[in-house]
Amino acid sequence: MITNIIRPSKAASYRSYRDEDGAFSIITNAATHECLTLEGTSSEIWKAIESSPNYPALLRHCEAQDITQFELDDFLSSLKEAEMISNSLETESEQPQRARPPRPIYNSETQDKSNKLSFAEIENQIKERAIESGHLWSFFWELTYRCNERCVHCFNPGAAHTEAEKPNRNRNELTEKEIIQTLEDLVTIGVFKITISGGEVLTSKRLFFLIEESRKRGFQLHIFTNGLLLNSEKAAKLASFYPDTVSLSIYSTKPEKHDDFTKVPASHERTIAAIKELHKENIRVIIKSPLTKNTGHEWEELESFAKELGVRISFDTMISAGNDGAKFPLALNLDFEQIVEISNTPGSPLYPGDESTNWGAMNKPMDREVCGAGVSMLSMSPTGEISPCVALPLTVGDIRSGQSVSEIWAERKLNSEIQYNPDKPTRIQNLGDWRSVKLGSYAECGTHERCKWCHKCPGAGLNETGDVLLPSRVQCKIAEGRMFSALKLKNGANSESTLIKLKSIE
Amino acid sequence: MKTSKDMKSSPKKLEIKNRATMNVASMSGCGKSTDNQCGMSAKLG
Repeated sequence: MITNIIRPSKAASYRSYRDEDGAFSIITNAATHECLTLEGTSSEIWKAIESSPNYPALLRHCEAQDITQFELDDFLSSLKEAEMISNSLETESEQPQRARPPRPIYNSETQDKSNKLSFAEIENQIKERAIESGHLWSFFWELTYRCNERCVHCFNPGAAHTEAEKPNRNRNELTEKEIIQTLEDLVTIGVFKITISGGEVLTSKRLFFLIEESRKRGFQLHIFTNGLLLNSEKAAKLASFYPDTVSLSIYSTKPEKHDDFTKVPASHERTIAAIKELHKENIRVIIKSPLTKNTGHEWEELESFAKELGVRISFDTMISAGNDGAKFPLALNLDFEQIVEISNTPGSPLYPGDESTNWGAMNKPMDREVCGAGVSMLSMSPTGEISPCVALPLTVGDIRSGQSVSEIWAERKLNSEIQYNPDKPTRIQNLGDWRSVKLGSYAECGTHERCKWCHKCPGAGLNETGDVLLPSRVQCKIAEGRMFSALKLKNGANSESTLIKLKSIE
Repeated sequence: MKTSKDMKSSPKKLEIKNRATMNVASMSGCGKSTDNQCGMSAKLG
């Protein structure tokens, strides 16, 4: 019989929710790289496990719900087999859970066609249910704007983009007390995922404090770093807190090109070394790779490079203006011919799709939000300003002005209709204002044929134009290129409909 | 309290609803957020 304390295992991340259909929980494990979901009474028992009860207390809890000891033991055994619980404080402190190698999926691999739900489907079901019942799913935490690189495309406010500029980054970062208050607040509104980013997070003396305090409260952690300060000792320390993923940016497979992005000699070599250290610890590593006009043609090489290292890759095909409105990064974007060329290749980051997906054309409802900003996630600057997304710098609250994140989240009730007005700048003052913005609110988004191929980011429009309801011309160009490619794929390269003169983008 | 024998004939109340390995395909999307947090990411291909 199990007689001692039952608690979530050290590698587990978890959150429990309740809606009109009852309780439900998500649990993931960063050592086994597995995800479980529970419903109803099973979720209620898990919720009790979150507070580390002893076995007799858990049994009493079950008896009150007409659940037998046999059932409880059977359930605990299945959770134990999945390594989601530990039943001894002593054992776990002596033997940390051994992480297994993660198994990323690459394009060339055949996907599992079994009837079982995939991880993405399972996670999405829980996420949607949590959002619909009024919870906030994820939180983006900018810990610091300090950085040891000077990337040419940096979007942080106050970043320097040229040799002549000096960075002007706000360093009045949150205190440990403010960090704890915010974490406890995030638990109350159901946040499951926290992404810690910067600046460079390893330059912050509070990084491991934030990591440790987050993990104590069951948050699933994602960390963005350039890895320059990450040696084997730091990688092992990081691994001991079981982050779900660690992402590092690689700009090119060519060291000199990468270093020209970061303006730090040997940064490519050091970031690769950090990726290897993290991979050795069996942490799920993601290479992030923004494609620019100088590196766009390298996407296949970059994918092969990630595969050789045994890690995932995530491409970004747009470089936005800075969150402070800096326009310099815009010049780095892919040109139209590059967009079309990449789009034409199946499996590429811009490929629109084949007949089965209507060549990527998406009809989007004009009465819906365009993305999850302020819907499934919020973001916080190093000084406590809250915005709907890190890429959308509309301040909807500030924890240093006496408002907690949960109070800011509570202001999400829709306000009066927000509509683009060419004679009046758009004003978003709180989350309710932002949540009132639908696709039909924008100046022209959703009205062109090309919009069917656009993954609209309202932050790109805001940073480029100064008005959140104006379109980003960078995104319009990408959408137009993908549409052109889709027509070519659908009708053949030389058909009349493909050779139509495309309307130029102002 | 019910016995284990009673339970064999009654519906199971405690169970794992879903279980899956967290393997995720390479993606294209916003590099500023994590995976598909903003709903704009797409699997390559």
